[in-house]
Amino acid sequence: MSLTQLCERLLNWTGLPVEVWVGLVVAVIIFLFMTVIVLAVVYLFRKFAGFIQLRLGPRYVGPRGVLQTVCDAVKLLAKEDIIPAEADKGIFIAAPLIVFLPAYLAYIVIPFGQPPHFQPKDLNLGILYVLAITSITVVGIITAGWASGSKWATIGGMRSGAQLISYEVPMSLAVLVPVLISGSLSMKDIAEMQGDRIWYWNAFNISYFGLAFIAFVIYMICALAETNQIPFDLPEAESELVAGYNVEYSGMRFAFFFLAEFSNLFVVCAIATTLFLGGWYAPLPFLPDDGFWSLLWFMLKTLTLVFIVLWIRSTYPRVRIDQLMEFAWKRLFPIALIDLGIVSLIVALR
Amino acid sequence: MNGGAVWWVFFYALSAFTLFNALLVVTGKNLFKCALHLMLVFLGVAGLFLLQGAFLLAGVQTLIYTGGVTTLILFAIMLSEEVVGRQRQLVSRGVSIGISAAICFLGIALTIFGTAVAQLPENYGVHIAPVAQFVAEASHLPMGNVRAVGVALLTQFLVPFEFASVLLVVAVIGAIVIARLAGGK
Repeated sequence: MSLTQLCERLLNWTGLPVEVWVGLVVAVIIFLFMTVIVLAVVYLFRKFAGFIQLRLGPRYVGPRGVLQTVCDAVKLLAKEDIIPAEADKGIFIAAPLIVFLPAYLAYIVIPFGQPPHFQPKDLNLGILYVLAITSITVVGIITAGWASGSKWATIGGMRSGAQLISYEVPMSLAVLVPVLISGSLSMKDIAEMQGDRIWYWNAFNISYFGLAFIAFVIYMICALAETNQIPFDLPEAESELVAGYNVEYSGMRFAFFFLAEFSNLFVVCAIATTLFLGGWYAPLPFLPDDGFWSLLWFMLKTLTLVFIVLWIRSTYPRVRIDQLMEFAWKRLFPIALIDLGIVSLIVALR
Repeated sequence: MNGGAVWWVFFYALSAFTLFNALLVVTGKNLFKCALHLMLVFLGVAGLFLLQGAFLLAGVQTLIYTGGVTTLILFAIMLSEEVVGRQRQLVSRGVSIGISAAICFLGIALTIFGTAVAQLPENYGVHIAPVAQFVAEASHLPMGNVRAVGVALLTQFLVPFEFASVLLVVAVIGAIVIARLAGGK
């Protein structure tokens, strides 16, 4: 009996519609993809930060230490699960899930390559869906801080709440710029509007006088803040808050926070690639960008952005909380608003 | 859309979920937990919007209510030290007030469902039709009815829309004034 026949037999036996099984398989694939990406990004980050800071980074486990993050993950899963006596048990357990689920669900609409093969599902409201889903993360972080019953965690959670809410505003305004330009909220449409010529990509398109590039920069700055990266890592400032909102978590629950954080980093860069850098398209028309090539181009662009973020992370000091808030409301917000206003004028007159 | 056993199963499951959490919001003693149940209520309502085909509304509901309003409420709870972690009786015992509020709400709901609102056919021109028909028509429009909502907000409902923004500006200014008064002393 061949594999297809076996699958068919199994399908008939369960009696569920095929769509349910396809959905389940896609869900598992996304989860595996997410895990692999996070393990790879963490390894690369540690090597890269080591390079920048004149250290060696992981080197003993596997060739050049590539298996180090896998070992760390296994260690986390095997660790004892501790719930502090002061913690509110039910909420303490729920918080990592509230943080993890949005990070996981965000993958559904991202076109990692030429649709429909490399995009789990194209939604009409793709980018709005991502913004909406990821906005739930902050609730999980505040909840984690509060439920831990610890000062450090509570302060971390509060800082995070203020920060994420503030930076969501200029971020949404920056996202609206490519949406206006392409006239669609679907990730697929926005990428397809840009096409395979680098000078038509939103970030570099000169017919918008560099305004779309400004939106791109604003988006990336807000992305740093939204994923708690240095220089905006106040919620988990190690030297002053121990580790912030997740300080009381250990083992598998901590692993969920960790997974969500690095996964979010990857997702915001993937969204920036789709919105501003032409998605899965090659920069020039004669370069191949169909089939697996499209996946390659997408990952190349996204990982470049991830590297820039990690570069900033291993270079800059942390900002103060008042600087952080002032920067969001008094600098980024007006710039993003004016930028959006002028772009909508250009689009209306086009 | 409106059909099939699965649809009704989802509808009743979501409604039960939403109502159950809403009940927990008003009866719970821990303010922080109440706020978390409120978040689940918002998510449940977003799910109901999805079932009705109002995708834009579901997205905006999640973005603003689940992500924004819940966060602000949690933030406010954490800032007001008195309440944190303390068990409180939050249920009001005013039965007469409760009943009159319920009657008012019923009146408003019935009025809304009885009144005609704008309807948007394929060419996005606006004319008047009952709510149910409006929902059915709008959900078949392309682009997840973003355009339909946009056109409705900037034509038929321009004045209420602008009034809502004025109200928000007034609220923001009021908040700043109150904060300044408190901070100055």
